[in-house]
Amino acid sequence: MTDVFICVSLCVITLVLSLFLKQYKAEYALITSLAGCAVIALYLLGNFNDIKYQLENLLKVGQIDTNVLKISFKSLGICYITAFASSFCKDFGFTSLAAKVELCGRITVVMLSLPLIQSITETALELIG
Amino acid sequence: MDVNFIFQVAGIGIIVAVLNQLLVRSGREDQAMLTTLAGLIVVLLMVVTEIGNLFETVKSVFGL
Repeated sequence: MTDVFICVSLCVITLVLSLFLKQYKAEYALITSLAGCAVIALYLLGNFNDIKYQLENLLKVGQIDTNVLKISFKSLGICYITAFASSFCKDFGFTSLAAKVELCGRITVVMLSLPLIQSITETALELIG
Repeated sequence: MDVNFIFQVAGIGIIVAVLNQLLVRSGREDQAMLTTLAGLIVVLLMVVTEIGNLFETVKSVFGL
């Protein structure tokens, strides 16, 4: 529970400092905001291992192939990083940069999931005969 | 990995802003620009190290 309070307070501190610096030096506001986002993200990612472990256990009990989970997690990581960069660009008005970063993330996720699509197609062809 | 990092970055920003104002008002605009640039480089180095740390953590957590 204290995680929530820590993240909220880090967010508010970063916001106040960044807003203060925006009037004097806009580039420092950008870098302060980036630093705050990085610290909060690093703090939260530590909790993620528990979730991953539990999901792996669930899949083992259900006897599903864990490769599916690996691809899901990889695409989740890519989505997270691209959303981080894209929202950060949008914050400071660079929506075209944000769109390019999101495009990069989309292409990477599609490339990641190509083996899955191939296996689905093969399974469907086998079923059809 | 704590609040101190954010405070350090913002503190350097505030110091540079104050120094910049002082130097501009006393007429030394080129030194003001150099101070701003130096502060920007220092802060960028600090943040880039932290962002690299973040990317390594994301790689290890998500198995990329």
